Amino acid sequence: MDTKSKNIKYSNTSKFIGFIICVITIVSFIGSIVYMGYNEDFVRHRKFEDTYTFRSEYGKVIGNVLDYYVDLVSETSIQEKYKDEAVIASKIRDYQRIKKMLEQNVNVLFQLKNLETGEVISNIPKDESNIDLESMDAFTYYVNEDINELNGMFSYNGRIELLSEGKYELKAAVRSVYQEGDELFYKNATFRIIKSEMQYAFVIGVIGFVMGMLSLIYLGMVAGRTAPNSPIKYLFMDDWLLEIHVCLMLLLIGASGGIISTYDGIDETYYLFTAIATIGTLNLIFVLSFVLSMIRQIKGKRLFQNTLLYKGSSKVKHFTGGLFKNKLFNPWFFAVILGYWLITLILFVGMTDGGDFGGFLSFVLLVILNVFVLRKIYNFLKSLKHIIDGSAEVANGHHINSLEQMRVSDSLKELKQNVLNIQVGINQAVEQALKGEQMKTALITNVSHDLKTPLTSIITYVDLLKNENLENPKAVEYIEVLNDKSYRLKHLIEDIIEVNKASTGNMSVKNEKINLNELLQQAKGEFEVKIQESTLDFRIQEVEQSVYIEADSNMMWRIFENIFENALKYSADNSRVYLNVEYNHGMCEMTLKNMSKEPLDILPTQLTERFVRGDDSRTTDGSGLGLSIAQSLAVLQSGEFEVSIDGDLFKVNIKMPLWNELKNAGINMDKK
Amino acid sequence: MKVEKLNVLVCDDDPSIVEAISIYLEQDKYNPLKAYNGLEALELISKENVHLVIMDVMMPEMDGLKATLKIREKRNIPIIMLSAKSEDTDKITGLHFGADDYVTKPFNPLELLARVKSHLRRYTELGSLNTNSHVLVTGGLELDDEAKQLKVDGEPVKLTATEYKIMSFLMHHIGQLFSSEQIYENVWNEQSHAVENTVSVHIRRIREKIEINPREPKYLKVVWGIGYKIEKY
Repeated sequence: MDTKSKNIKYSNTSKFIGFIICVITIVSFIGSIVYMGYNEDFVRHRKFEDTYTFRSEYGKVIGNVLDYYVDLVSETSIQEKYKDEAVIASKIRDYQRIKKMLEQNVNVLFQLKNLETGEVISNIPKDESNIDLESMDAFTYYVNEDINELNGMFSYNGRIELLSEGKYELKAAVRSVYQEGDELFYKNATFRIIKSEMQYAFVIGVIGFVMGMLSLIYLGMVAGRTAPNSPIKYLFMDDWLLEIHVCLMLLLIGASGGIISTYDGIDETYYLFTAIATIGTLNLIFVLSFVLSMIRQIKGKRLFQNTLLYKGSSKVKHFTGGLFKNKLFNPWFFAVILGYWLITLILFVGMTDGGDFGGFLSFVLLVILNVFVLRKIYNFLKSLKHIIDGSAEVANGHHINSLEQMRVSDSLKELKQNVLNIQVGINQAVEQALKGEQMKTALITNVSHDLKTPLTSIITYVDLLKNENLENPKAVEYIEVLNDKSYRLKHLIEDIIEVNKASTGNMSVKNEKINLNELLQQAKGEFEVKIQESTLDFRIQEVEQSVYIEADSNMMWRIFENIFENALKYSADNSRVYLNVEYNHGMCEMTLKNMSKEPLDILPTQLTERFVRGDDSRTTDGSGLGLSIAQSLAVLQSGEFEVSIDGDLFKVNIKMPLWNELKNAGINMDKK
Repeated sequence: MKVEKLNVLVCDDDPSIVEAISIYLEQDKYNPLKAYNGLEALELISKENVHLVIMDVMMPEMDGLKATLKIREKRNIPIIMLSAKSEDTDKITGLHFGADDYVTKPFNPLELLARVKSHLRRYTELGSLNTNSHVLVTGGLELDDEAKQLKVDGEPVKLTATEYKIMSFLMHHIGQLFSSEQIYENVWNEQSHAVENTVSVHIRRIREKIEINPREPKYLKVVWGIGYKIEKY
């Protein structure tokens, strides 16, 4: 029940109705105030004779009476009294006008008595000649300049001066019951209407005020809420910036005023009131919605944030803050630019308006200034170029010593330092990586060495066992397995140490002049027995005696030893192994091709990785390091080593630099 | 033939290795003496008439290198160094400290024994070495030009006529490096054919006959891609 009433309270319909009621009641309140204010004269006085309206009207008639009967009297008397034709004409026009007005008057009765002649002028009709002016309302008695005010009446009229000579005595009063015919009658009728309407207007005003206030409080309470303490729900106009909102309102009110002012010339009060009421109501609606918008924003605590001032200032702060943070755009920078503009401007003015000497001086100063500024800009750009070059060096992994000593513009010092810092960071990372790699290598080598001593015992004791007289044939067989495996372990350890050294570049490489033909002959000679024992046919291409490559003699042998061993171990029976040699671009390209015994389901790059073999079984001899060692050694000698697989065709491609006599002048290995 | 047993000192901190080597030595009629660090080795040498020392490098108390230095101060007996380190620099260091040979672990026991034999023969028969002008000598390698015979540590080696010719040519130019082509031209007295691997095959065979470990030759060295030479000792 309670929540339901609350829901209704916060519903949009209630709010809308509340809004309408608020507008209507406020309009009524304002309307009643306007009504009362407009008719203030009548509203304030209980009797019509007390109102200013009555007094001015009454006074007007008195004035007219005095003008007409004392001053002007008749057209002939005017012509006698005044000399100037224009004045006479004006006075005659007044006389006519006043005469007409006095003819209309029915409610003001008067008696004007000439004290000298005793003549009495009165407008009291004959049938009412017994009327006693003094007993009537608003009786006034004028003589000389003394004004006898009866009933507290006073109606000043400048024409009273006309009585100053003391020749006349004037008595005047109004009828108790107004007769139709003149202004006073209508005014009195209006007075009576207003007096009867007044109380309603007052009641409407009070009710309007109270209701208006209540509905305003209600609207203020529920503004922006969908439930008590709910988050504020904003309407579209809430997003308008405060200043814009206020301006819009002022504009509307101003425009309304403008529109109303165009009604100025229109006498019809009815139209004027309608226009003011309509426009006023519209304005009220707008103002009310503005006030509610303000209330919503105050509730949401964003009124200040939603101002142009705040947004603008925060944007300016953000913008300028960002600029000033960097040394490049410090306040000085702006000051300097502004100064430059200012000085240039002054000098230009000086050049055009400074006369001969001033103009020349300005010109010279302008030239000096610009040479100075251009020099600064040149230095700035030069510094920038140094830094760009330096950073490019860093990017390429080179060390930059030059930038450290390079002088750069103040504004770019930070950038320079940053580039240098990046270099330091990179160096540290590389150093650390290198250190880690070295530690790993050292660890592997040390562990391998530690394995060697126990292995020595194993090998020797297995050998001793072999020499014992063992009767069990199985024991002999087992010992043979132990013997094989212990030697294989020995090879494995040796290979691990070697691949470790080779892959980390922890080997000194000699640049020797190697005769390729000699090397191939030696290799073939070494493998002669093994080749003959195998079913393979080695076809090694004939190489000219004069072909020399630049390599390390022992490393080259290890490479060939490994790839020959590889070919012998993994080639299909009765297949041919080819070794071809080509030369191009200063490189000697040696290609060894053989048909694999087993299908090669492996990526060529993996074959040169450590401990990878074409077959997954690890029972055959070989450490799986042969190709990896060969590749590392080739790379160490600035060569290339590539393995490729085409179906069962296994291809090793080795590229070594050809001996360059010019490059290696002074090194002569040929001892002929 | 009754021969006096030769004393071989085996020194290693691993007792199992000392024991194993001792067994091999006993099988070959040597008298093994056992030590487990450098100090013990020095003590034994001062007491006994030691003919050869097998010394491990890394040992507690006193390491092999230091012990070798101490031994060399008084004695000129052959010293074979054992080490797990196979680097060239390690070998050079060992030889520099006065060792005669360097064997890396794990070793083939037969190869070690062959080296022991070789060194002992040269040591014991040092005085009887031939000094004739027609005999060319380097280390334990002797080439008798007149008898057309090659001896290693006094033991004659059976060579074919071509092999002998090659050895003769190389022994006449000890320490000098020759390419296969040059050897071929000098031995066969004719132009060589590029692809022929005649020389390299012969050289390998000779190595198998004269070297204890043909893969690591002591006398007939291969310089890969350049040629061959007889090492000068």
